Amino acid sequence: MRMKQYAPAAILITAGLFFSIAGSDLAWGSLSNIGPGFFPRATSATLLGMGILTAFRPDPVMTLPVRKMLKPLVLILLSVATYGLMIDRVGLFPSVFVSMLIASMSSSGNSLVRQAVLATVIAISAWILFSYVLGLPLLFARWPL
Amino acid sequence: MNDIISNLSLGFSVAISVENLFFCFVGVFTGTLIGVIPGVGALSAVSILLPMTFYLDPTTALIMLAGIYYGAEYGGSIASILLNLPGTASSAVTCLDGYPMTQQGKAGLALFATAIASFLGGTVGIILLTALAPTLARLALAFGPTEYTAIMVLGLVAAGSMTKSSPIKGIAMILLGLLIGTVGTDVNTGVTRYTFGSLELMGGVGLIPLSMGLFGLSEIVIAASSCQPINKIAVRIRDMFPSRREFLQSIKPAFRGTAIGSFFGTLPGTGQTIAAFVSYAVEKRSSAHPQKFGTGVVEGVVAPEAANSSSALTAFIPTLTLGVPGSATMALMLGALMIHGITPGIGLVDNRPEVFWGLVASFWVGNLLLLVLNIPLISIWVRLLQVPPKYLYPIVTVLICTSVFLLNNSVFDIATLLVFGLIGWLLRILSFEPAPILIGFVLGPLLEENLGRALLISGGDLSTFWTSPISVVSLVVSVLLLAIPILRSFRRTR
Repeated sequence: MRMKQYAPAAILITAGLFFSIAGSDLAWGSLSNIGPGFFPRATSATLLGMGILTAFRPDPVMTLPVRKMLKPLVLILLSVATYGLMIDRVGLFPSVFVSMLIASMSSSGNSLVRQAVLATVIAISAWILFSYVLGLPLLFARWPL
Repeated sequence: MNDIISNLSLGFSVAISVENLFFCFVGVFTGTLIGVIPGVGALSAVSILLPMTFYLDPTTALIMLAGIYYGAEYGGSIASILLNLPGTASSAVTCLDGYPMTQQGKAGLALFATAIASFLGGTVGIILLTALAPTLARLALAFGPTEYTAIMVLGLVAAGSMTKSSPIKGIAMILLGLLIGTVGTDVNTGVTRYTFGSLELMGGVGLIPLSMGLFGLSEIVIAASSCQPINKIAVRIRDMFPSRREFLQSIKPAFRGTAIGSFFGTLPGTGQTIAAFVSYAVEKRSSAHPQKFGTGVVEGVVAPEAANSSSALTAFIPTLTLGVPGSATMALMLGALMIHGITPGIGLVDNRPEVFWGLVASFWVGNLLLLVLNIPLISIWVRLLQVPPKYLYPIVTVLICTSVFLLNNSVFDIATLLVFGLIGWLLRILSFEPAPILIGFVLGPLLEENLGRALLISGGDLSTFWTSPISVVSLVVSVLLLAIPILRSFRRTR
């Protein structure tokens, strides 16, 4: 439990350190002519300070069922990643179809057939909406090379 | 007075063209459609639909955005009143009495009261906006970089310290937003920062993938994991109208809410959340039966909704004249304006009056359309609410992906979406509120630019910040805003 209480502080410290270290080669400049590093380095140092301040007074972390969320998290992110990998290779229809199937696995009790039908309908309507209504140059489908 | 009338008639002549009305209608409709999805708040709904407006001409796009904004807010209220699932902090206040009303079978009345209160608040808000905006925009002419820096600091501090979570966490989110805003090429020196050699990052992190990841995607993940079967709720139109007693009961709270909302809306950095909370607290304190608040009294719904709506409109005063948004949604709208090539400030009021007044008028038209559309259509929205979420979330996921991809036909944007979806989820489970990140992100570059300029003009002399009265007042208020809650929270823990 104690570890969990310090997670918010840890994330702020990590972010503060990340921006401090990654920005350490940016020049500070002078007060009358601030360099590219002035603003980000001052801000990240403050963020780091906030993280340390948070560590001193950990507040009770809300009890969201984190473990229960892992499955939807992984599947929805996977669905987005799949979409990104497919869209400019194979076109809109297959990308929408596959990523919808993946995303729909995030909630239980779905029949595959019903989801596949829904995915088809949505993929076609997305194409109609974006290609015809909004007139965007979109590929419907292409066999991968 | 004549000015106000001629300005508004210019605005309405822009807003009421057939094309613009049509897109406003589309905006209200789709906004409600997305906003009503359980767990998807108005902010996410606006960011999901924002890209659709990019293909329109700027004025029409803004009018559609106004429609989307109202639709999304109202859709969010439907979900929060019927299911106790607030998508935004300000609609969390509506839940306090709205959901108990649903449990007593008075959902229709609650929804009707919400729409009417929001219309009243919006109408008063627009009158104030029309009266005050030109004056404030002229006042803004007196603002040099020093004053801008100070007022932006005030806006950021106010936005960070007035979140639901602790003020330290809120400020930390603002800082994180400022830092994300520095990614890319520094406009002053041309040096690239935090790009790690990536060409795509040289132009900075995209506003839309960022907000869709932080809000849309992470909300879906959280909502999908708490999917519950939704009970059947029936709302009929004839259940919506209040009795005479209920009507009389709501008049004063609606006006008080409007006044409170208008006040907080005009202050930079304080958005709807604080207005809704304060008006609820005021109603409760001034009520003859404070113990009934939270059990489903109509005043508890009317006051915060009126405050919410009037503050949304009056928030345009600092957003459009000073460029300091009051809430994350306003920050998003500000970002959208800039994407459409419109820079807020005096130039907007003077040089593009058709855009400025057209936008103001369309906010009112959007509100009116909402009223005439959503009351008759209420049964459709309620039925939509009962579509099992397992069908809705995959649809919204691919909708998000497609609109992000289509912005620039860029797979990199999808990667950005993915990263910020994960960050948003992580922050939410650690009870951070991601909304201030967006405000910091949008204001960061402006703050840095003005800070640099202020220091350059003063020759590096920091005393420039306490020789200008506007700057002194802003900075003193910022320090107070920071100090009071932090001291109080330390005292509470001891």
